[in-house]
Amino acid sequence: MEEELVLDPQLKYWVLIPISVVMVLVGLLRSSFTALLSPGPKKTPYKKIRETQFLRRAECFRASNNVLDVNQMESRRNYFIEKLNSSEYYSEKISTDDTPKNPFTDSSTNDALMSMMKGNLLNYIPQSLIMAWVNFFFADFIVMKLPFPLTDGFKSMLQSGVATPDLNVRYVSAISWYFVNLLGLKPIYNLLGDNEAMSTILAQSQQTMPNIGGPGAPKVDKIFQGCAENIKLIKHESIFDGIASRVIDVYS
Amino acid sequence: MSSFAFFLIGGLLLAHSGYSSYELHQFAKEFGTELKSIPSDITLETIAGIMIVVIAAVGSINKASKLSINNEIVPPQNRYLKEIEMKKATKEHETIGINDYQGFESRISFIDIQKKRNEFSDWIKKEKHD
Amino acid sequence: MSKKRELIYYIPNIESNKKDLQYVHDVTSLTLGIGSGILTLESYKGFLLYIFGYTAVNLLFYFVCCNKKAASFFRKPFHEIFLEDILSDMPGFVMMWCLTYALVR
Repeated sequence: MEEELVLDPQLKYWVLIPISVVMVLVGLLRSSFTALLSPGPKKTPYKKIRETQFLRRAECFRASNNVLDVNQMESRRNYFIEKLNSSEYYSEKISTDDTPKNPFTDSSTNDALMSMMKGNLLNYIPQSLIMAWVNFFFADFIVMKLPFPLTDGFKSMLQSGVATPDLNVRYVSAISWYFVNLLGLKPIYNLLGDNEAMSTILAQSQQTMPNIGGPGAPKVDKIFQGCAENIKLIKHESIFDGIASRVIDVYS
Repeated sequence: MSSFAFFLIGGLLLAHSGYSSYELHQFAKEFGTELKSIPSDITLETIAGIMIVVIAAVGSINKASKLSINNEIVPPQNRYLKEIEMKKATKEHETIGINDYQGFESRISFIDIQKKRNEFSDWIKKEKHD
Repeated sequence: MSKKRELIYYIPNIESNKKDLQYVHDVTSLTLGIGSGILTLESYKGFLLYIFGYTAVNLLFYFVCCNKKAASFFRKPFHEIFLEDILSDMPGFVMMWCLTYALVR
């Protein structure tokens, strides 16, 4: 049995609990800030919306055409093929020149980049602030003894700044309590009814790229024609075929 | 409401056992005696506290009855969870007469105003005749 | 028609059940953390308490809430109730364990 280190009990009340409280509060505050700063729905020209919605309607038709019977199916199929091959629903005239536009002159791209940057800043700033706060006020504190042993590999991380090379790894500094909190606060946020607070902190790495309409994006007429091809190729199977026997089968 | 009482009792038990454990460790530190193990009453109290809190959590997810459109109280299909199969899940909507998306479906733009007005004028005419 | 019928699910109810299960799991992991901190369990004993307690609560949930027909509430009942969250709920347990362990001693 090795010697116990006697820690001042005041450390618990003035280091451990404040760090936890601050982290919970900052998480909650951050999620409300994100809600405040997130821009409302952006206004798009109605023709653009009409184009995407028509495309989505065609896709929905393709996905769930089996609720139609044969007559309905055929009339809708003809309608969609006709409209998709005409240019009625295009949002703008198809330009023939193939010179790619500079993506940064497009205002929608800039907006997307801006909102992504805001989200990133809201993720990083509070975390680095808390970390700086912990490092500044509670530097080199041995605040607690962990209830489970760790290998010496954690020494450099959990006891950084502690100039006692032979100290048991179970005695850790304030910054490691910060890390334990960072990982473990998810259930607390869940119980406080704020699912946003944690999900974004830990999901920093999986930021999605904004939809930049760069030179790689396919032209709208190509998409429409592809969709029309797909609709042509649908093998229609109606759910009304043999429905009576199936219903009897289920309920008999 | 009963689950709240359970949470309270369980929380009090946990708090009390925590305080006992704290005093015990202070005492042991003061007199330099080494604690071999936690006394069984504290252990039992802690376990009882955990069990009561957990039972409260499991019991507190139960679903309330709903008031149907015909002014009848419809008990939930199952006490704790909801059916996930489409045909069983929608059965409840049918008995109540309201589904989850009623708010959307009864928006002004989804209401057939002309039909409603016709119904109303028919009704008025009928009332006048009587 | 000998073809096997395709099951269609009602997504909002799946979400609601998941949320209820998550709630039970959250309360369980935090309470078990507090408990093992109070009992000043060390190293593997604490983790054993977590695994056993967690599984016991899941059994309670399985028999009381699911009423022994879990398949009609979860798509993959065994996996979703017993296995999926046991590791992701561990940090919450460890946090409360460390906190109460430090406070009690």
